[in-house]
Amino acid sequence: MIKRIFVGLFFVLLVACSKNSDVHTSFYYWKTNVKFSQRERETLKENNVHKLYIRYFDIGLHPENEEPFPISKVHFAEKLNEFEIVPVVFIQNKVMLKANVDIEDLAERTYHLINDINGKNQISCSEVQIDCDWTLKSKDHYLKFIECFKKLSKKKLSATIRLHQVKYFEKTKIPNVDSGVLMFYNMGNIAPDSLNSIYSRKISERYLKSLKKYPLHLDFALPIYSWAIHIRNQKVLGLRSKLNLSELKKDKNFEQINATFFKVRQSNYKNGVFYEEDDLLKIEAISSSDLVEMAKDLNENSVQKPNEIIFYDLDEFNINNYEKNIFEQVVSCF
Amino acid sequence: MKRIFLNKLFLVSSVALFSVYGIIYACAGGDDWDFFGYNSNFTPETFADKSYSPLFLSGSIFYGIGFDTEHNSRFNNNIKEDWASYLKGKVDTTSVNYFLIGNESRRYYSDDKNVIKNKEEIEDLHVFYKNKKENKTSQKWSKKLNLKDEKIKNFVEFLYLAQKIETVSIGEENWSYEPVIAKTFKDAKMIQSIENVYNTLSDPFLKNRYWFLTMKARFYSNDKQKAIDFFNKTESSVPKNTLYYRALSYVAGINYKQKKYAVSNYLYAKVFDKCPELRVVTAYSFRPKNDTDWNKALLMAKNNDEKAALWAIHGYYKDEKQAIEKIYELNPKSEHLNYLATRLVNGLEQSINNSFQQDTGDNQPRKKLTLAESKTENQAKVDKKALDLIAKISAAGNTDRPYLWDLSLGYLQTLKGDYANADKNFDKAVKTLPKTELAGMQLRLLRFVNNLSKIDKLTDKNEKTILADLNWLYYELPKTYKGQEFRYQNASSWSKSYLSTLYREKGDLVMTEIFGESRYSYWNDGNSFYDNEKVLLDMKAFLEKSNKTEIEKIGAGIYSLKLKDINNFQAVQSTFKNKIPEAIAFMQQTDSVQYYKFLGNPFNGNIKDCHDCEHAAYQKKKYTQLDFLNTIKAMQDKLAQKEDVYTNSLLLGNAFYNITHFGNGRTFYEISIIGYGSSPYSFRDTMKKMITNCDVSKMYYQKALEAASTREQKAKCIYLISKCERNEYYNSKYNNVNSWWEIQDDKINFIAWNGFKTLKKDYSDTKYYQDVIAECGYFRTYVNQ
Repeated sequence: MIKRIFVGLFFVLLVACSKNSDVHTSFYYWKTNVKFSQRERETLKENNVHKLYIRYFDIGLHPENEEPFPISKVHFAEKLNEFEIVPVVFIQNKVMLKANVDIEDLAERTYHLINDINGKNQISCSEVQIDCDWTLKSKDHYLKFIECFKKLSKKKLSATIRLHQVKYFEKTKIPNVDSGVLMFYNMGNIAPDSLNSIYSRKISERYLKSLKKYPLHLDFALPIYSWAIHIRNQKVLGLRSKLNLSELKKDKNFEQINATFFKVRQSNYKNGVFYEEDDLLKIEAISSSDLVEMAKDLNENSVQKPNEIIFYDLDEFNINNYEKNIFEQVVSCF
Repeated sequence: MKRIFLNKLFLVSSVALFSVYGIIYACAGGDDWDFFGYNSNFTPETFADKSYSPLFLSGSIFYGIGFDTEHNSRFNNNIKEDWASYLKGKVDTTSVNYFLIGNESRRYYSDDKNVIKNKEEIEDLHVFYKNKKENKTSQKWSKKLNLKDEKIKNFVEFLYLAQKIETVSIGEENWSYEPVIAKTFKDAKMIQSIENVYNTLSDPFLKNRYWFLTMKARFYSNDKQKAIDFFNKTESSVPKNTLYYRALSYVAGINYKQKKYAVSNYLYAKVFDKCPELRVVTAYSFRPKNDTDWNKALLMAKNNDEKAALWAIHGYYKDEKQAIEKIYELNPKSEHLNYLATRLVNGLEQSINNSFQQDTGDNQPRKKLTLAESKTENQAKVDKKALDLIAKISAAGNTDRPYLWDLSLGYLQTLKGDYANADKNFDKAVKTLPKTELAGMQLRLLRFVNNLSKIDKLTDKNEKTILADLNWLYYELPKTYKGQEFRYQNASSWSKSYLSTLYREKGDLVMTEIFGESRYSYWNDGNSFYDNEKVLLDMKAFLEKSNKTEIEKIGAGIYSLKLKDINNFQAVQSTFKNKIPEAIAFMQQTDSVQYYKFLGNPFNGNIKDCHDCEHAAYQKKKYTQLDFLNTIKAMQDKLAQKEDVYTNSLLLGNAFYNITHFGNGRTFYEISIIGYGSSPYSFRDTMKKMITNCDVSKMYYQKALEAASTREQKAKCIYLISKCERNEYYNSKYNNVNSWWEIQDDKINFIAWNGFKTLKKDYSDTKYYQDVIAECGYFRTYVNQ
C-alpha cells in the first residue's frame, strides 16, 4: 500500500516536469582512467551529451615538504573526439590555506600541466573548471589564483560553487569566473548519525532562497553517486564507494538493520576492505524522486535558467541505480 | 612493482576521497588526525623493530610518514653499500654514489638548473668501452679511476643497462605528465641481452645483479608472464637476499594484475616476513578481495613462519587480537607479534577519555566528571578479551620480548583499576627489559600512571609517591629529551587534569585552577577564573606565599600566569572602572608591563577611528602604560581643582576612549587574562562588555561640552559624543549577538545619532563641522539626505 502511494506520488512529480527543455545534459567524469563501459557509452549517446567535465588532477600538499603537488593525474584509454572536454582541477582547501603558498607559481604550474595533459592526449579545450571548497580564510588566495589562472589561460573559466558560498557571497566573495556550477550535494557531514550527507531538503531549503540574489550565472550539478560510510565505535573509518546494495543484502556476513544501516555479523574481507564484527555501514544514496525534487526546487528558486545540468558522476555503477530516462526527466524540469 | 604500487596508492588519495576530502578530514579532527602520540602512554618504538614503524597504529595510511614516498629511493643505501664493497680499493665511495644515484635530494619541480650529468657520463663511458675510443668523459675519469680495471668496467656496463630499465621504472616527477599509466620496456632484444649476460657470468656478485636486472626488465616489459617463468626457472639457484625478495614482490605484483589474488597475497606475506625494507610496500599491497582469497592464501603457506606472516599483515588491517592469537600459536617467538601488540594497546588507549569531562550534546558546555565517574567510564572500556590474551602470553613468558607483554598487561591493569597487579607486572618486566633509554622511560612512565591512578584523595604520604615523576614530566623531559618517539605528553596533561580534579573534589579552587587552567576558548587566552574577585585574591595569596609545599611549587611553576599578570589584569579593570589610584598601584607591580609603550598617542581624539593611522602619526611623546595612568591622575586632580576644565575633560574623554576596542590603544587591555583579538567576539562576555563600553569617555566629553567656551569647542565635543553613541549602537547591534553569522544584514550602517542631529542643526557654521563632513562619510551622507 505504502509502496503504491509512493509510486503514485513519484509519477505526479515526474509529470510536473515534462516540458520541452533546451537545457543540456552533461556529466562529470571522476575516475583516474578514462575508459567508458558499454552502459556509460550508451548513456552518453541516449542523452545526447556533447560536453564532459573530466577531473584532470587534484592539488594537495606534499606530505614531506608541504608544497602543492598534483595528485592522481588522469589517463585516457579512450579517444574523446566527439566530446567537448572541460578539464576540472580539484584544489584541496588546505593548499589555499597555506600561509606562504606562491599563488602565481601554482597557477602557472596548473596551467602548464593541463596543457601538457591536453597535448599528450590530443585534446583541445575551450573551458577549464576549478573546483575548490574555499572558505573565508582561504578566500584571498583562491580569488588570486583564479585571477592569475584566467590571465594565463585566456579560455572560458568556470568554478564550482557550494551552497554556503551562495548564501554568504558578500563574505566569501565571488571568484572572477565566467560562470559557476552550483554543487547541489555534500550537504552534511560524513558522520555516524542517521542523516544523509549527500542531500537533505531540509538543509537545501536554508540556502535556496539566496539563489535569486547570486550575481553569477549558475549551472547546476546534481548527485547520482552513492556510497557507504564505514563506521566503527561511532567513528567514521572511511567511505566505501561503489558498494553494490543487492549484493550486500545477499552477503551472509552483513545484516541489514534498517533502511540505511548494515551491520557486520562476522569479520571478513569484501572488495579488498576488511570489515570487523559489529562495524556499521551507512548507505547514502539519491533516489529518482530526490533528483526530481532537487530539480524542481532549483528551478523555482533561480532567476535564470541554467544552460546545463551536470550529473556527478558518470559511472556505470551509479547509472545502474536509475531508470534509463532519469536524466531526461530531471533536465526537463528546467 | 614500484609503479603498480604507486598507482594503487594514488587511487586511495584521490578516487576514494575525491571532492569530499575536506569533510572527511574535518570530521576526523582536522590536522590532528594522526596525533596519536598525544593520546597515548605507550610508545610503540620501545617494543618493535624500526621496519614496522610505519605500520604502528595511525590515523593516516602510515604512521609517521603519512604515505609512502620512497618508491624511487627505498634501496639506495643497499645498492650503494653493495657496490662500494664490490669496488673497494678501486673506486672511492663518493664516486660510486655519484654514478649510482647522482643527486639524492629529491626534486619536486622539474625546472632545477643544476641537474647532475651522471647518467650521460655512464653513457659516454659505455661508448668508450665499446669503441675503445677516448672521449671527454673517459679522459676526465681516467685521471681518477683505472678504467681498464675489470671490476670498474663491469660496474659501468651494468649501470648502462640498468639505466635503460630505469627509464620506465622510475616514477614521474610531480608536475610533469606521462600519458600512460605504466610505462613498459619494449626493447625485447635488450632484455634478452641482459638475460644472456646473466647466463654467461660466473662472478656471484654480478650474476646476482644481472639476475635481478633481468627480472626487473621482464617485469616492466609487455610480457610480464615471462618474468614469472624466468623466476620459476632460476629461483632455486639464487641467494635469498634483498634482491631475491624484491624480485619475489615483482612476481606478487604480476599475480595481482592477473587477478590471482590468493597467490599475490601469499607472496607479499613471504616478502613481508623476510625483507624488512619492503614491509611498508607489502603491507600496503596485500589486498585479499574476499574471504576466499584470504583462506586460499592461508592454505598456500608451507610452514608456520609463512602462516604467521600472513596473519601478521592481516593484523595490520585490524583485528590485531585474532592475529596475535594465531601467530602466538604458530610461533610464540615471532617478531611480528611485537608490532601487533603495540597496535592493540594503542587502539585500546584511543577509547580512553582523559579529559575528566563529558560531552552533553551540541553547543552545551561539557560536564565535569568526578574522579570516580571518570574511572568507571574508562574501566568499562578496557577490552576483557584483549586483557586476557595479553595476560596469557605474559604469564607464559615465551615470546621474543617478554617485557612487552608484562608492560602491556600492567598498563591495561592500571586502566582497569587493578593497581596492585599492575605493580607486580611492572616489576616482572624489569627482568627482561633492555637497557635502552626509551625502555627505561617507558617503564617509569607506566609506573607513574599507575601510582597516580591509585590516589583517590591526596595525602602527605601518597603525594610523595608522585612528586619526583611530576618534576620529571613537567620540567626535566621537556628540557632534556631530544627524541621524537617517547610519548609522555599525554601523561603530562592527564596528570594535570587528574590533580586538578582531586583538588576540585577537595573544594580547593586555587589548586584546581593551578593544575587545570581555565582558558576561555581554544582561540583565546583569556581566563574567566579571574572574573571572581575572591578567588583572584586567593590566587594572589597563593602565588605570593613563600612556604609552598613541594606539590604547590610544582603547580606554581607550570601555571602559565604569574603575579604580574594578575596585577596587570587588576590595573586594567581598575582603569576601566575609573579607579585610577588603584590602577596605578597595581600597574607598578607588573614588572616590565608598566613600561610598555602605547603605539599611538592615547590622549588624541580624532574624527575617524583609525588606529593604524594614529600609530603611524608622529608622536612627540611616547606614553608608557604607567605614564598614561599618571597623566590621567594629574588631569583628574586638576579637574577636581576646576583647573582648565574643558581641556582636561576632553583629554580624559580621549584617554578612556582610546583604551576601548574602538580606540588606538587596544594593547592596553590585550593581556593574557583578558585575551587577544581584533574582534570583540574573541572575548568572553564580561570582557567584551568592558572593552566595548565608552560610558566613562562619554561622561568626560559631556563635562568638556558643559565647560566649552567657543562654538568650535562645542562642535567638537558634540561630535565626539556622537562617536560614543555610535559605538553603543554597534554594541547592541553586533556585539551582543553570539556570532557574526547571526547578524541581520539590514544594510543599515548608521543612524542619525543625537550628536549628528545637533551638529547639523546648530553648528553648521563651524570649521569643525566642515572637517567632519570632509572626513566622516556617515555624517556627509546624513547631511546630504
